[in-house]
Parts: sequence; C-alpha cells; structure tokens
Amino acid sequence: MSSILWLIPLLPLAGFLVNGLVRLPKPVAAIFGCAGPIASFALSVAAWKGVPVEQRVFEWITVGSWSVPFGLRVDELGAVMLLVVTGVGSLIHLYSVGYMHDDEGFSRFFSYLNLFMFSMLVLVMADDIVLMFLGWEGVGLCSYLLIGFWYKDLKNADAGKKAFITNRIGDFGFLLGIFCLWKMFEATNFVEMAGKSIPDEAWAAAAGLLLFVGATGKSAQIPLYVWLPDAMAGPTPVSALIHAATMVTAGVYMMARMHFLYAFVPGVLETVAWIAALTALVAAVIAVAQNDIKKILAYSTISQLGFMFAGIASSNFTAGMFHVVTHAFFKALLFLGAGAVIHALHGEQDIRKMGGLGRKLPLLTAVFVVGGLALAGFPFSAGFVSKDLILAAADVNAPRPVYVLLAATALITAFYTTRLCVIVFLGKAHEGHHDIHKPGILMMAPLVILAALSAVGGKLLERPIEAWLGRVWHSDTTVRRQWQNLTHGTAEEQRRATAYLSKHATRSEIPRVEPMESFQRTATAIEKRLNREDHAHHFNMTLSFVLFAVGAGSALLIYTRARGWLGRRVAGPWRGIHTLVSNKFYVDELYEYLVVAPVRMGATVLWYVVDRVLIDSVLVNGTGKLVYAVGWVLRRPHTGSLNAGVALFALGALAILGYLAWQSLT
Amino acid sequence: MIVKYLVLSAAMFAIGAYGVLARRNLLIILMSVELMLNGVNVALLAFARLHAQSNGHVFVLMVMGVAAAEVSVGLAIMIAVFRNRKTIDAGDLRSMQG
Amino acid sequence: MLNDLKADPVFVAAALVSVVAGILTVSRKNPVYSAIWMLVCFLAFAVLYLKLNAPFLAAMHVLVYTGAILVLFLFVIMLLNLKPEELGLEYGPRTRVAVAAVCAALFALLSYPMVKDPSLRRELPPTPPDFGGVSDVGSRLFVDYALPFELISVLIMVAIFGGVVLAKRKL
Repeated sequence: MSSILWLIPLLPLAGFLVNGLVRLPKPVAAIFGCAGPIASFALSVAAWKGVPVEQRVFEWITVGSWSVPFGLRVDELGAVMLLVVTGVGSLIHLYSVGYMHDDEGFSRFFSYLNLFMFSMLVLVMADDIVLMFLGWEGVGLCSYLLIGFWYKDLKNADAGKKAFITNRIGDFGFLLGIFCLWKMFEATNFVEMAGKSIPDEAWAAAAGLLLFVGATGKSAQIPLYVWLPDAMAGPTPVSALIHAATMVTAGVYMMARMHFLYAFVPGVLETVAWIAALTALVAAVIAVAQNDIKKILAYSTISQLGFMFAGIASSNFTAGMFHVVTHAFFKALLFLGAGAVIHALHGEQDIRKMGGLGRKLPLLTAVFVVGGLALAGFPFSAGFVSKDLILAAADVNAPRPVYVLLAATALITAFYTTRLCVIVFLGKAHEGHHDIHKPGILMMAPLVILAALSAVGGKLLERPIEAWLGRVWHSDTTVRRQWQNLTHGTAEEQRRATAYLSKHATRSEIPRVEPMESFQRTATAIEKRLNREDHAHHFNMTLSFVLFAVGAGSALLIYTRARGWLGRRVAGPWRGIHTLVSNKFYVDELYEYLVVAPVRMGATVLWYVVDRVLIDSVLVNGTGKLVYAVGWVLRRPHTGSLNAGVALFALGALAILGYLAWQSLT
Repeated sequence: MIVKYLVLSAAMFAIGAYGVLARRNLLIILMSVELMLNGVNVALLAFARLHAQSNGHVFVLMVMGVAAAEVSVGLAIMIAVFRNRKTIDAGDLRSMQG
Repeated sequence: MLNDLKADPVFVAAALVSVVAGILTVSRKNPVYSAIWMLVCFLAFAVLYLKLNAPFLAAMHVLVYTGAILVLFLFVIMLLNLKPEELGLEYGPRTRVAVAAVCAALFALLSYPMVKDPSLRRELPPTPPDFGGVSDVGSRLFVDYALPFELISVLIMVAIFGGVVLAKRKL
C-alpha cells in the first residue's frame, strides 16, 4: 500500500489535466471527471487496513540541513478524513454530472473539481506542515476558481476574489505559525515535531494562535468568515463540496493534526473556544433572518464550524473531528438538496417564493428533511450524536459562558432549520411555479446515500470513531513521556505533564505504580475529570433533547400557524433588530469602511503618485526627454559648415598650445 | 638668427588659418591650406639650417609631394561637388548638418 | 633681434612681400586674384629658401608649387568659370574680425616660445659644402630615405587615380 499511496492524490490530478487540456464530449468528460475521485475512494478504503502508511514520493525542498520531502502519511486521523473527502467528494461529482448537464463549462467544472480534490488530498495526507500548506493554498485557489465559475457575471468574480483575499490574510497567519514551529522544533514534519517536547511555552502559544488565525480564514470563523456567504455565488455542488464538507473543515483538521501542540497551550484553546462559540451564535442568529436558501445553509455552516472548533477547544479532539464527519454528511445533503430544489424551480433561490414542494417532490422532501433533522439535532441522528459530544466536552473543559453560548446556538439551529423546511416544503404552493423539473437519478442517488448516513451514521460510528481516533491523541509515546516527566522530570516538565494528563488521560492510562506526592495529585485530578465527564454526558444528552424540542417546536408552530403574527411583529416593534440581523450586523460594511477603503485609497495613491507621476512621467518620460535634450544640445555644433568644423578644431589646437605654453612658463 | 624665420613661419601659418576659417569659397580655402603648408616648410628648412643637416630638406620634399597630391584630389572633389550642387560655397554645402 | 633684421635686408624684403601677398591671397573675393597673389607669395618664399642654403628646394618649390599646383588651381578656376555674381556670399565683418583675432592669438602662441627660447639664438654652425644642393639632397633622398621616397611616389600615384576617378563626368 505504501508504494501506491501517491496514486490517491494523483488520480484526481490526472483528471484535472485531461479535462483541462482536452475538450471532450460531455459523457466522456464526466467519466474522466468522476473516475479520479472514485478510484481514490477505493484506494482510501484499501489504505484503512495498513494504517499508519507512509510514502516519500520525491525530494521537494532542500535548504541546508532542512529538507521537506513530498511525503504522504495516512494515520488514523488521516484515514477518517480521507474517506470523508473522497467518499462525499465522489457522491458530489456524480451529482454534478446531472446538475451541470446543461452548462457549457462542463469540462472546466470537472477539471477544477478534480484539482480541488488533489489539493485537498495533499492537505490531508501531508506528513509535513509545509506540504500541508501547499494543499491549503491549493484549495484556496480552487475555491476562487469555482466560486467565480460563472465569471461573466461580475458579482461572481467579486465573490471569488473576496474568498481568496480573505483566505490569504489567514494564510499569512498560518505561515507565521509555521515559522514559530520551526523556531521551536527545528523540524516541520508532524511525527518529528510530536516526538519532541516543547521548549518554550510562549513560542508554542504564538504558533498555536497564528495557526488558528489561518484556520479562521479557511474555516470561516470570526473575523475572517465574511467570504463564505458570498461564496454561494458558485454552483451548488461547489458549495456542497468545498464550503460544507471538505475545504472549510481543513482548519479543524489542521488543529487536530497539531494536537500535540494544542494540548500544551490551554490558554490558546480558551481563546479558540470563545471565538468559536461567538461565531456559532452570531452566525446562527443571522441565519434566522435570511431568505435565500443557500445563504441560510452558508451561515449554518459557519455556525457548525464554530461547534467543531469548540469541540477541539474543549480538549476533545475526537468530538470536533466527529462533527466534521457528520456535518459532511448532512450539510452536503442539504446543499445538494437545495441545489435540486433550485434546479427544479428553474433558478429560484428565495424561500419566500417557495412552498408546498412536499407534495410535488416527495422523495426530495424526504431526504432534505432527514438532513435538516440531523442538523437540528433530532435525537440519535448523526448531528445529534456529534453535537452532544461537543456540548458534553464544553460542559467539562470550556469556560461556562462558552457552554451557554453553544447551548443557545443549538436551540437556534433547530429553530432556523425547521423554519427553512416548513417554509419550503409545507404550506401552499407559491403561484409562480407551474413547471417543476423533477431531478434525475444521478442527482437523487447521492442524496439518498447521504440521507442514510445522516440518519444512522451517528450512532453507528460513534464508538468505533472514538476508539479509532483515540489511538492518535493518546499515542503511546506522548502519554508515556508525560507520565515519565511527571515522576522523573524537572519542575517545569512536571507542571506541564500534570496539566496535560489531568485534561487528556483516560482511565486505562493510569499506571499502577507506587503513589508519589505529585503523582497522587494528578491521578486524583484525572479521576475528578472523568467523573465530571460521565455526569456531563448524561446531563447533556437530556439537554440536547430539550433544545431540539423547543427550537424545532417553536419554529413549527410559528411558521405554520402564526405567520401573520410574526409578519406584524417584524414590521412593527421588531423592525430594528430584524434589519440589523438580516443585514448580517453590517459586518461587511464595517470591513469595507475599516479595511477595504483605506487599502483602496492607498492603492490609488500609489498608482497615481508612484506609477503615473514618478515612474511614468518623471523616470520614463523624463529620461526620454533628458536624452532628447542632451541630443539637442550636442547637435548644435553640427552645422555642417566646413568653416565651423575647422574653427572648432583650431580652437582645440589653441587650447592645447596654450596649455603647453603655460607649462613651459611655469 | 633662425628665430626670424620661425616667426615668419608662424605668421604664414596664422594667415593660412584665417583663410581656412573665414572664407566660404572652397578654392580660397584650398589655397589657404597651401599657405599653411608653406609656412611649415620654412620652419623645417630653418631648423635644418640650425643643425646643419639636410634631413630636413628631404622632409620638405615629402611635404611638397603630399601637398601636390592633396591639391589634385581636393580640386577633383571640388569639381565633382560643383557638378552635383552647382556651388562651391562652403556655407551651402551643409548636408551633414544635425 | 632688431639688429639682426637690420643686418639682413633681403630677408626683410622677402618676408614682407610674402606676408603681404599672403594676406592679400586670403582676402580677395575673386579666386583668380587670390591665385595671382599666391604666386607672388610663392616666389618670395623661393627667395627665402635660397637664403636658408636650400638651393635645390628653392628650385623644386618654384617647379612644384608655382609650376604645377598654382597652374592646376588656375585650370580649375577657368574650368568652373564662375561669373562674379555666382561667387557667393562671404561671412559678415563680425565673423571675420573674430577669426582674425583667433588667428592672431594663434600666431602669438606659436611665436612666443620661439622668441623666448635662448637656444635658438646661437650662432649658426658652418654648413658642409654643397649643403642643400642637388647631390646632397639626392644622396639623402635615395640612400637614407629611400623608403619614404618610394612611398611618396605611391601616394602621388594614388592621388592621380583619385583625381581621375573623382573628376570624371561618367565613370
């Protein structure tokens, strides 16, 4: 397996080249487009057996003593992510064959999608953070290409630009983070870094924070989330694949990969928790007041990403990653379903112009509602299980206000999801739609598969994933080293080991040795935490039931019976707050004023003063004019007159003679 | 003794120079060049006399030969110019201007 | 210096004639007059050559300069056959005065060092017999300076070719 690991990213890359360079008829282009991801999925399944698998493909960068080979490594974490990316990705590719069928950019779409798959797979499989950064940038590029896919409309191109630029700002933080890592570890390979102990907590905190800045850009958290809603300008499969299932979760994946760093900087984790919770809540609130079906799902994604980060920040890396997996299932399902709805209604995206689709499109409604229930946290659906894990972790390990924010968000999530489903699928049909285009099998089959996964995937996968991923967080070397430091390390190491173990050690890891002083304290701390976790688990399960019931129930009630009442409230006393929320709290406008306008002004100044005036007029034209002037001056003596020439000659001779005469005198 | 010849030579040279610089007629210019060469000849002969060596005389012969060659070619050019431009005025022959 | 001049009236006369003739040469409008004055100048020069113990060269001077070069000049003047109005303009008085000043400066610069140099005032050494005569110059020319002699003949030959080619009406 290790010798063919490189095929996993390579096959989609080949698909990109084929569709990008050769213009093929649509059926053939579709085959080449889908073959890569499906083959990669098959290989990913095969790779599962031999985990961890590594392969060094070729020497990439070598500078002095530091070298970054193009190395791929699939451990337990990578295997999970790999299956999600290739599996959900393949389903979305199949869906796109149907969705993009009438589009003239069909081949271009698949070549971009395949390029994205390649970049994402490099990101997931990289064994070195620099190589991961390569994939990171690559997916950013593909995001830009795919958001602005219908580039002839300026709005789409602008959305693509916004996504790329915002990402780039985050990437700068990421790069600085890499520098901090190098400063600390003198290595950038994940296994190598994990094997070393952290020399300086300040640098570790800086690295962790800076890497998280990169994650806020890629995974749309505060303050760099503003690109995601605009990214809905792209085709719906793009929204499903990139902005729901895979690319946006790269930030979470990166933090999970760097667990060995984050486990030792609880301060950074606390900051992450706050930002994540705030993002989750604010995005959920905004989603309540949106009327575009894709925008609702976009804000929902931002909110759910906040949940994922909150899970990571509560020291439960498994919870965060599990939510990545379940979210991929139901969010992709929801986006693809929304795409099918839009497709059926010939491009309509405003939910106020939809209604009663339940009767016209029963299968679509069914799968969409399954996805919605998963998102809302219907008991024992996939979303419920993963969200519950996160809430339980936050209850124990996160600051209390963060936990409250997350719970509130879960409530609001149920509310807006139910609102969406009720408005679109129940009630009477909107007048405008007579000719509803039923989606074909190529679009419906992936939806059904995703619906099945969203329904039962949670409960089915919970225990296996916990055990499987646990092997990464609690790798023998890390935990053993910490226990060793506890008993035999310096004071600093002991302190760190205590902090780490009390948060992360499992019951089975407490070794049976004779009780020493600090040892006993740590063991007690661990016991206390584990007890709290058990208690929290039961409490939060009940809480999640309640939150779902209240949120969904109230939305159901309001939107079936009390639409008129709501309408009057919104037009009247709630008008101010409604305007504020539906305008996304004017964050885009604020950024425009604070950041974009000054930059644009600076660019104009530079353009005018430096480029137009200084370079063009003074330097370039000026040099030309100077040369012309010098030439004019030098041309003056060339009268062409014989006498003048000889006269100058004579004057020169006189000068020389004069000099000689003067010399002979003195 | 010899100084007066050298001063005369300088005077002839200067007079010839005036002719070259201040006259526009090509013929006159050529004649002035001859005067300058003559001045040089006198100087050469004066120094030959000063050192009592007749090497200077041979030098003067060479100068005369060169002068003859130069005059013949110069006049031939002038004829050709006159045929083309219908003028022998140095002020009118300014196609090299600029 | 003045005593020296007073003791040599031949020189003074010849020098004066040549200078005046020279000035007249360069200042006449009509080239024919210039040529005639040049003739006078050359003849005065021949006298000066004789005074400098160069009899052969004096003869050569008359032969070559007056006999060949001047005649050539006159031929060409006649050939061109310019009427007085065709002779063209000359420079204005301001230019001429300026040039005269420059030439005067040139003269001063050239003659000053010579006047001041004491080594030029020494007594003239005695000349060997036949100094500057035909056999003397001849032996120099054909024995010591045979190469320059040959080269000058090549030069003259080239000048002949050049003159013929340049002046042809049609090649």
